[in-house]
Amino acid sequence: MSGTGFDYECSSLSPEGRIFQVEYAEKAVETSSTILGVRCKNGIVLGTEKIVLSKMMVAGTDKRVFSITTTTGSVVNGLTPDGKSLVYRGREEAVQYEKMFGIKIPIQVLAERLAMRTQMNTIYNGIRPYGTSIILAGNDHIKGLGLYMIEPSGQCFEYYGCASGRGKQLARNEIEKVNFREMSVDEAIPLIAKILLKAQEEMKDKKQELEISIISDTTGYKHKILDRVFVDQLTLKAQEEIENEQMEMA
Amino acid sequence: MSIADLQNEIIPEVNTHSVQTDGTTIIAVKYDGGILLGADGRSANNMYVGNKVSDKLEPIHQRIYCQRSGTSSHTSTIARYVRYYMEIQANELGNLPPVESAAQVMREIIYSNKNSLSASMICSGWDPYKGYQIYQVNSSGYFEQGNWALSGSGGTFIWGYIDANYRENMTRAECKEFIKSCIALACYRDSSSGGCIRLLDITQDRVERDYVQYDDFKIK
Amino acid sequence: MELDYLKTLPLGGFNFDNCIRNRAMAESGILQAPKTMKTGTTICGVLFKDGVVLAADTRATGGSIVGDKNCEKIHNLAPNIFCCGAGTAADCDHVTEMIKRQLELHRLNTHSENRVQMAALKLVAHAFKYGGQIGTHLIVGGVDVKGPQLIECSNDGNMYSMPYHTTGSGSLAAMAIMETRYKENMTREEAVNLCIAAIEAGIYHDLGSGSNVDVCVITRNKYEMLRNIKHDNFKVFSKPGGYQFKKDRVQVVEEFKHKLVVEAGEQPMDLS
Repeated sequence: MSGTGFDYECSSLSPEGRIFQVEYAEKAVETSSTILGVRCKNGIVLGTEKIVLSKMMVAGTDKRVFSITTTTGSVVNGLTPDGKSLVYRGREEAVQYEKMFGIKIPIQVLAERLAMRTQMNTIYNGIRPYGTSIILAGNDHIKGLGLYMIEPSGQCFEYYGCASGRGKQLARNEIEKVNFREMSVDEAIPLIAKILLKAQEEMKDKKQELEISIISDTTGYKHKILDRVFVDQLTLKAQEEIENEQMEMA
Repeated sequence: MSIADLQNEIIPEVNTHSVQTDGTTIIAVKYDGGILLGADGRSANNMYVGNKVSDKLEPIHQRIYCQRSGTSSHTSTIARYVRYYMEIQANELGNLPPVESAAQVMREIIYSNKNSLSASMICSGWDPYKGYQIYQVNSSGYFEQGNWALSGSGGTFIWGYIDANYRENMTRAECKEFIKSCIALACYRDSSSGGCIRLLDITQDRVERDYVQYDDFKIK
Repeated sequence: MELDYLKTLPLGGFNFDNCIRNRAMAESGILQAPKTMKTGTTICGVLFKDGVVLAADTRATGGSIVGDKNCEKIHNLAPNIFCCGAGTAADCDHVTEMIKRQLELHRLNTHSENRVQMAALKLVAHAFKYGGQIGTHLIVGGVDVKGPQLIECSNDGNMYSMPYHTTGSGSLAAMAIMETRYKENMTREEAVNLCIAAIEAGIYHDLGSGSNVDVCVITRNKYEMLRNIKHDNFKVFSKPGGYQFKKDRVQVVEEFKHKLVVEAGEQPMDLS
């Protein structure tokens, strides 16, 4: 992928109709950790895996899962500081909306507004696109549960299950295989852990960490980031299972 | 003394003849399967009836209406602004806007300009999320929800009547008669209410207007 | 400092200096604060079968003095929209002129006829912004795609539409005529006569209104401005032969005579 001068800024399209800065931003997302979200029978599960960068780093300090409002969760990948900035923006939007209209921001509206914000960064000279994908999950009394993913181009769709990052293809295949929509959130969590670990197969020599959060009827449709200890146990169990599967295959 | 203070002091003197107020009796009542709104038709400049058939029922959105009492120009401008915001919100939602939001926007406008506005309004209607709702927004910028709401100068005379005669789950016909008698009674005792009665029926499927002439008022 | 003089310049916007003076005068108990000046007018408008009639008196007052015996109070907003103005004459003139320009731009941009509703909303939005400080009490009438329209716009930013309206200090007298004689679907003749009667009631019973009656009839694609349709108070006497002054009343000090030479050259600009 070569820009021939068209790749320094995103204020002009290339003769082929591409914006290279946006494509480079997508590249930043594709090479980063896998994030995924699935819609279940009674809620939504969000998850991500990440490589522990340094042994001296305090466990759990590299956060990728954030709450935007009490009922809206998000997970980001790519350049995580970019993602964080988008999450902060989301919090501002949510507060502003609630002050203005007296109701909690519907997840669809939040997603659209953040998508618009992301898109704004793809048309101006002097600023770069967000190098991050963000998956939003939430519940509101307007439309109920909703799962959305925003990509660096500003593209935003609603999904039953979606994934982004390094292992997105594998993760998508796995999500399609399992019928999550007939499954409860509690049943789905171990499967999600397994999918996340499988998705980063080539990195398995390094120490891995998972982050999982849920929105379900058991949490009163509030966004809840799962306990560190619980997730670590889950990770170990999932790793064992994967190893067993591979032994059987062999 | 600031210019704003001076203005407040001077303007009433200059404008006593021209500021049009909806002396008004406005009432909104929930019945079994809908909401009925009622208003009288008198708008007065001091002692002169400027309009005897004024329309104090103003549309905000397809299923949301507001009723206006206070300075007529203030309330109609507030209604215009609320209409504008609700249109935006409805487009963003891709669905009917919540009544709660209309009331909140109205409250926010009144609260943040309460030193220069004289407006007491009722915002009611139907939305697919919480059903039928009535909100009363008073001139200090406070709002509350209820099964019925009453406002305007004529309201003073019929609080007791409503307390005594309001029942939950009235039929539409019962509710209509109830509102008619409420406003007729208020017009009878309040000098700044009168003219005619305008009625509006909001249900999930439609909105329907009705009108009662002064000659057909029934006190007993 | 060099720029100190800036502080001595008057500030823009409304000036409330006189309010402070008036307060001081009132508090002193000796001097009397000047009263606000009110202008008198009678204007009215009526809807009839296929159009609108607007009418106005022609007296302009400044306090108790009649400033103009035959002024025009019916302003043009668009080819199909007119408006009667009561209140402060200058405000009425300038606000209607401003709205007229805006409507013209809209007409040119959209290639369509202006709507009366739009003109009224623009007037009202402007008046509301100034919280009643602009003394415009207007009756806007016209014929647009929705048919004949009549809207009243008051200075505090209120507007409403009825089949007949009266405003100004003589509005009570005029309204009495309207209330008794108005009926639906009048002919043009009846409507004009009703308006004349209403304005005359104002002229004869209100001190602030007087002189003649102006009427404007607007129907689809046509308007008729009937200036001084009634002139009971027209100036009937003028000195026969006018005023003559003897030539020697003016002393000639010096006389000049110049020959005007027109040379061939550039043609004057064609202004037709």
